[in-house]
Amino acid sequence: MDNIVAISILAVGMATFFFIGIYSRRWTKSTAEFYVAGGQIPWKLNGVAMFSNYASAASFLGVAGAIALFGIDNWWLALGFFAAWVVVVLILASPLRRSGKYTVADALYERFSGSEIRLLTIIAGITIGTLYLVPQLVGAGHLFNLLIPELDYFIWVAIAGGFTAIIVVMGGMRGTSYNQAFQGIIIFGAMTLLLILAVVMYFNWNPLGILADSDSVVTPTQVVNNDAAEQILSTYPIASDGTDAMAAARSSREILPEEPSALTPGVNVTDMLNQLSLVLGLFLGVVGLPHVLIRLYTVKDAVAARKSTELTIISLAIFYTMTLFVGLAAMMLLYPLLTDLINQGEVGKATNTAVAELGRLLGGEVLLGIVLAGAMAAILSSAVGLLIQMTTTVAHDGYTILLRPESSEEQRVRVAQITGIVLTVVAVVLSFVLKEENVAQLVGMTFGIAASTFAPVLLMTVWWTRFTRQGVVATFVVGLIVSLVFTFAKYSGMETLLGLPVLVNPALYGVPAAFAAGIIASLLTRDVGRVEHFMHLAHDRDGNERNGVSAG
Amino acid sequence: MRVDPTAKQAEASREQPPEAGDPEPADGKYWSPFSTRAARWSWGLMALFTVIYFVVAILTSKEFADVAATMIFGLPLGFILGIGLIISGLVITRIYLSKVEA
Repeated sequence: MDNIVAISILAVGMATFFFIGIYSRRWTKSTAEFYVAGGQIPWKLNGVAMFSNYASAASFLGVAGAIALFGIDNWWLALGFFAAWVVVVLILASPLRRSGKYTVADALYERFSGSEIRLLTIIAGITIGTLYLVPQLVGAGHLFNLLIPELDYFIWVAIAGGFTAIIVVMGGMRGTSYNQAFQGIIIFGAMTLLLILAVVMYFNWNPLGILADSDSVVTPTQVVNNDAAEQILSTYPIASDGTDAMAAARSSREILPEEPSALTPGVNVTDMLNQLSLVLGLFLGVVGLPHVLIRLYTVKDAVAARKSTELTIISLAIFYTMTLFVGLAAMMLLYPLLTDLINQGEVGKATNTAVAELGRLLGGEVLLGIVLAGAMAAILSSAVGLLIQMTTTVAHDGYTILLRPESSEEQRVRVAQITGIVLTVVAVVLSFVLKEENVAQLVGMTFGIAASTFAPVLLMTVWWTRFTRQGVVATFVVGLIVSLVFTFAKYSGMETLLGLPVLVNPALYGVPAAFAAGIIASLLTRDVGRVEHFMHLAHDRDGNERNGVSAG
Repeated sequence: MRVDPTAKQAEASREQPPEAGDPEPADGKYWSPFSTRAARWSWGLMALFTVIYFVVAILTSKEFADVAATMIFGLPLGFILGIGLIISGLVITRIYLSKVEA
């Protein structure tokens, strides 16, 4: 078997994840522990876990890989991922944390009664969670099958799914938090190590040298599009070392002097409408991602939630800046290899394996193993976050609140664990079915649907006193339908629908439609719920303090 | 085990779910969250960040590619705007936390 050292490092990492899950089993005796770790996770650990929860395979492998192929334009995804967190901390984190207990549905229920609202949150939560979980497993299957072909796609998907279920079922939220914090350190450390080694070994200890050099390089995709690939590959073989690869990269400018450089913006971006739809989906997407928001409840109060979120934002800022430098370094140091893969039509393989190949070039099998462990950590941390959110949604909002309020603690934990196993099986099966689907499209679609459902519902619930119960239902239903319809239209290859162009992301239609539906329905109805109680609980810190409630 | 009193209050209120919402005040106006200082900071900074975000997004779209490619201090404007967006996000977050928690 090739890559035995790398596989061993990966195995050690996965064994550690497994051990943490088993070790945390002692705490999963109550529902409060299983769902939100009893609200006792330290804010620093929670901040790292939130970073890890969010920095999925798309962030760790996809962003840097896409920059390596297409240049600086693909950095926009990272900027959107980062900006979304600022939105969360500015307008949602504190009021949501103060108003709820376990889930986003709890926060809604604090203001509005009615089982239909809880049912809609379950449907939307499961839809978004599953659509986000599947690409994590698909990504794991493809990546590790490419790098370790002895185990095929299906086995890797099953391994990733099985590990996800074990970590969640055994450890609950506390085990998940410890695992995600550990995985966050691996993800951040691997990206930092790649950057430092690249700068020290090839850019004279100067990170800005990466920018200077990449400004004199034409991206591999443009080289292939201009039929210059053969000329470069005939001079510089695929197996070139880093120095020769950089020479190959520089020669691209000599061959194509009129082409824009890797640092030139606007070369690979779409038109204005598509760009706006994408950035809107990213901007509001996190506000509507329950698996991210649930982490606001795992710390003891709103202050800790805010500190966690700020730590996450700082980590993401550094991480996504590093992805730009690592992506550009990968472009130059792997230039012949990437050009050859694109020339063969294997753009996906080139994108997903660029970071791993950079690790192999800079640190041999040891660094390859660390990068693989980082990739698996990124995949698992997002997957376990999604799974525990869905488990909590079904077991708490569905079983405990709607079906069996009289159930015992033991029964509730048991249902949560069974739900975790069932949902994992569903996701693994879907990952087999959707094996050939584009992972980035699935993730982007999830952001668009989240921005069209949970985001407008939560924002209007938390901030608008005239928002009514009927408005909640209308927002959920219209947002979900519009975003799903335009998503399916995109997949089915339609160019227009109802006279509107079908865009890369459904957010530009879903978000305004959802807000409009909620506003119109609210203005036509009167049931604003317990608005005075809710607004004071969520916002009135002075009033809460007077009434003996933590200001948070 | 330390228990968050906010969560306790939420739990207590959940045990008695309301059959109907709050009665409408005589003047038709409920207590507004926008009356708090924290909310004004939240939305003021949110408006600022939204403008920065979408201006950067528009300037880096295909229609404005030439503008984004303008070189400033030896670097394309698009790159500088991207770094600027990250820095402004960090600064705005810090201002928000310091003002709201002050």
